[in-house]
Amino acid sequence: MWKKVLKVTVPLTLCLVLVLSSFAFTSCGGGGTTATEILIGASRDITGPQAGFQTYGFAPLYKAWIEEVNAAGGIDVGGKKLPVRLIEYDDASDTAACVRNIEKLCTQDHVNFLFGPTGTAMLFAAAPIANKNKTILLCGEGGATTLEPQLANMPYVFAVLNYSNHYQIPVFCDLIEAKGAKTVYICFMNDLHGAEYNLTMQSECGLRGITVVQAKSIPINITDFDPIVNEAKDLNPDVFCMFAYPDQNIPFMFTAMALNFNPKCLLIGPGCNFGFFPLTFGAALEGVCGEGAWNAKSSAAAAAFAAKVEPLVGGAGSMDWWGADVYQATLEYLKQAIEKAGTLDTEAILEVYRTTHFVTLLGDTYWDIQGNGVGGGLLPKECYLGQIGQWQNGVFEVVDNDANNTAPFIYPKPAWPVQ
Amino acid sequence: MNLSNINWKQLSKTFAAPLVILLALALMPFYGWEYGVSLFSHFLIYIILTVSWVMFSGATGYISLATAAFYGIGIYSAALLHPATGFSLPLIAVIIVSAAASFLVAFIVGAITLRLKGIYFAMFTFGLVLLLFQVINYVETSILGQRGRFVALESNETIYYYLLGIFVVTMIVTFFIKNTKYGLALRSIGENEDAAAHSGVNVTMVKVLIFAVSAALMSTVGVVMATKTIYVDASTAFNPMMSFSPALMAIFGGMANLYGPAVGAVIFSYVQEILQTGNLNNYYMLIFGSILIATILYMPQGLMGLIQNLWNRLKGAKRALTRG
Amino acid sequence: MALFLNIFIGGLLIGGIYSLVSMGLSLQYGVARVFNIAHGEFMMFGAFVTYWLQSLGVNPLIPTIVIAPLFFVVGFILYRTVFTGIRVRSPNPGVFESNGMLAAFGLYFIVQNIAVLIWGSTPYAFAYLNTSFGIGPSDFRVNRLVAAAFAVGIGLIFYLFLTSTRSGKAIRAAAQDSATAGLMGVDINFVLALCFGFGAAMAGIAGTLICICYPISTTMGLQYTVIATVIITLGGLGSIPGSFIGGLIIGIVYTAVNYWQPGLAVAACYVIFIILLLVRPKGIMGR
Repeated sequence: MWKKVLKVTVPLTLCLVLVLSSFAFTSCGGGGTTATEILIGASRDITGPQAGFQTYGFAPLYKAWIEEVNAAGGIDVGGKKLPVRLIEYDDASDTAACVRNIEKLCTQDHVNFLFGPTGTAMLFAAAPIANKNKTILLCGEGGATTLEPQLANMPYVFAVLNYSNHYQIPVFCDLIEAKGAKTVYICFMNDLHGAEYNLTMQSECGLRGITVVQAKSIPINITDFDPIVNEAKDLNPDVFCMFAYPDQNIPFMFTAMALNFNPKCLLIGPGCNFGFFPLTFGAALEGVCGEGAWNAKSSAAAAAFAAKVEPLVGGAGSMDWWGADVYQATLEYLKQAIEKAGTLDTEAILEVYRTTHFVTLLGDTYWDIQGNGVGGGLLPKECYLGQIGQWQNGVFEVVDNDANNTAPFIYPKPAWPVQ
Repeated sequence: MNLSNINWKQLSKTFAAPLVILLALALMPFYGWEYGVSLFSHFLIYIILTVSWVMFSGATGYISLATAAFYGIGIYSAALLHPATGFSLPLIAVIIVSAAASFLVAFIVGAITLRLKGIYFAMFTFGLVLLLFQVINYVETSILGQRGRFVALESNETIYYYLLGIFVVTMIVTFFIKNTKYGLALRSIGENEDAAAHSGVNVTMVKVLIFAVSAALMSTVGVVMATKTIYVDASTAFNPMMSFSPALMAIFGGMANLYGPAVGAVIFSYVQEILQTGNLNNYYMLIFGSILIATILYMPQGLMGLIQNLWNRLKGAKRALTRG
Repeated sequence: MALFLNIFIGGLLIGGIYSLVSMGLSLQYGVARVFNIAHGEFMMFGAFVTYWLQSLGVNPLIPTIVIAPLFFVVGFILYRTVFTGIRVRSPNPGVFESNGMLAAFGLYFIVQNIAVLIWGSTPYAFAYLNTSFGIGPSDFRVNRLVAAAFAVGIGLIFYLFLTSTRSGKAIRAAAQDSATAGLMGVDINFVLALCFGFGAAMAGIAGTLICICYPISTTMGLQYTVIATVIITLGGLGSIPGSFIGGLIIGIVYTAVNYWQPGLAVAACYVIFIILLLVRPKGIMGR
């Protein structure tokens, strides 16, 4: 009897899986070029470990922006309105696939612009290929000190997001130094992102005479934070920095709360800047800092954008109080640059990028061109709406010590609420 | 040398098809299909990895999941010896060094572990990938303070011709191993290891040697690919999928002849390529799994085995007709 | 002293959960001769079912009542269809082991990607008994204690089942020598499928316990499979006490390395694995 069942069920199940999957194939297909549209390509992590950024990162914003632009008839290119079309390929955070996708986008689909891939490491793979193919790449999530010297030779690459020494960590160190913090415990992810924040933090602390009592690297698949928290409790630092991703930051928060580890200042990110953090931790998040930062109080334009973006990204949990404003500004700048150039010719648009200030969500927006004015661009410090945020009464307040400030920096942070 | 002794008919039969295919591949960059060069490089990578995997695992039945480890050694060789800035060896020298390093590592690993039974060998080799990833990642980020490394960029054509060269070498090595006493020894190990040992085969030596040769070939692919992806860190170098894919491609294609693994590799890498849009990649993995089970259950000889069976049956039918 | 306590007791608590994960794999490989690479995926699925149920307001320990029988049936059917099919077609046990493992790889991809399609690849976590209790100078998590106690309880029940019931004795006979057991009138196909089913059920329960203590993601399975492999090699295949001893040892080693350098924890497990394979491949309780 079992033999009969075996003969029928297994092939049937396998066929079923195959048929169900093949349904999805029908929707695939590459793009061709016509002069009647503006093509934008992107190689994104749609199915891999960083797929979350498709819901709370750059992707929902550029998709909404394209919809909005097309609803208005497109972008005015030399008197003719052209619609925008997006070609998005999946790389699942595999560098080789990302490189192949970017090549395909440039040489086969002939896209006019590229949006950055997901995460800094992917950016490193994508930037040289985009540059080689002379296609403007607007980086989204990701940016790094390591990329800075290379930008001088990559005129087609524009990095928008702020990062460790550009200028989050210096701003943070100024804040804690002003409050008299003496010791810091650093816990960092052992990848490019973590290593870079760790090194920047160490050098900034060194400049200010703050002692780094421990700098410990953690692997991406870490689950047990008890050792880290117990050690930190023994060392009793004034400030604890957690340079890892949401996957690590959430369990770290739970552990710190359970073991009642409450340093005077807690910097967590990326992850702390996202809307799912207050949804997960509620009142316990009071006084916890994260990299970022912007909020509805930053400016009138920011308030309007904040109100608009929540339904766009699918609810309060997917709000990004670190990068959403600069991603949006990148898109607004792109539209104005195309309109000003009046052509889709890359060199002409590049010239606009190098020389022109536009008003965007961030206010006056322009590029700090590297390599003595012939390299790629970085967004200058004046353009950002903030560098360090702190959760206060459910708002990710900008606590920078400058004009961006929306609330005073709370130090020491309050105790964890009693559970 | 007496040319009349050579059976030209036999020789042309054996080599005509491969030479035509090779010529067509060699002219690839001149077709004016710019992306085609990248796409075929992608195919070649998997063909080389799969064929070198079959060279050892197909014949002996020892399932090696260390492909990603050797591929990663190749990538790191390129990162260390062919960096974007500073002292850099020519690519061909890097390939040779990497092949030697990989050969050595595989030789040591093989000497230690190849006395293990099948499953343990598979787990051990897979663990090797994880170990190399963790240790190298730890040393790079926590001890050296590295933030990834950059490899000098090579043009797509250079990469393509290097891969084509490695492909030819791989095929020649496979052909050579198959048609010498080593191949015979390997197959006898696969059929019955004890009997092979009793009949005078130096079982351990043959196993370890072939394992090391296949590892050397795998690492050369890594070197060439690193010049394409440019940015190197431990997680890109030691991707476990690089271990699983060649095994599946080989099983799907069939390991009985030289073409099977190559056909499997091309089919799977092409499917992967066309599923690169939307969230179809998850379906790729789902199909990957289903086909693996289906192949093991219903096509133990793989696709080429199936085709051969059908062909034989057709031939048989024809003969039956003429007889009737 | 505090450090020693932290490592020792913390390690035992984690080790308890690891034991349950590896007990299932030990049954599946030790008795049913299927090296189930997808073991961790079953665990992951169990964890996600628990997460889903607790988000509906159910106490996270209650889903085990549903998960255990459900996973048992799935495992049983899988063995009777796929793996028995392979077993029948394989000329010798060696070929069956290789092909069985490859089929398990297929299963791994299928289960994982179904989960990814449903839940995506982002991590999930919730707080359950997220407080601590003190032993001397050290603090430990209450949820780990509950999970470890649960794991030990299930291990004990299963051990009693193996030693004192008829089916349990048949399983032990099959573990020692399946051919002879078959000749002695044990329905070997049934017993092996039973083992595979029990293995899957334990993976499911372990998933629940993992879900209580740690954040979960759809890609976490393989990591636990690797740890479980080291544990069953250490403890001895098919031995329930062996899985427990191995689990506790690895738990302590893992915690100790975590205190020193978390980045090397998995590497340390692997080094133990290498040494074991070279020195005593049978494991501590192996015959």
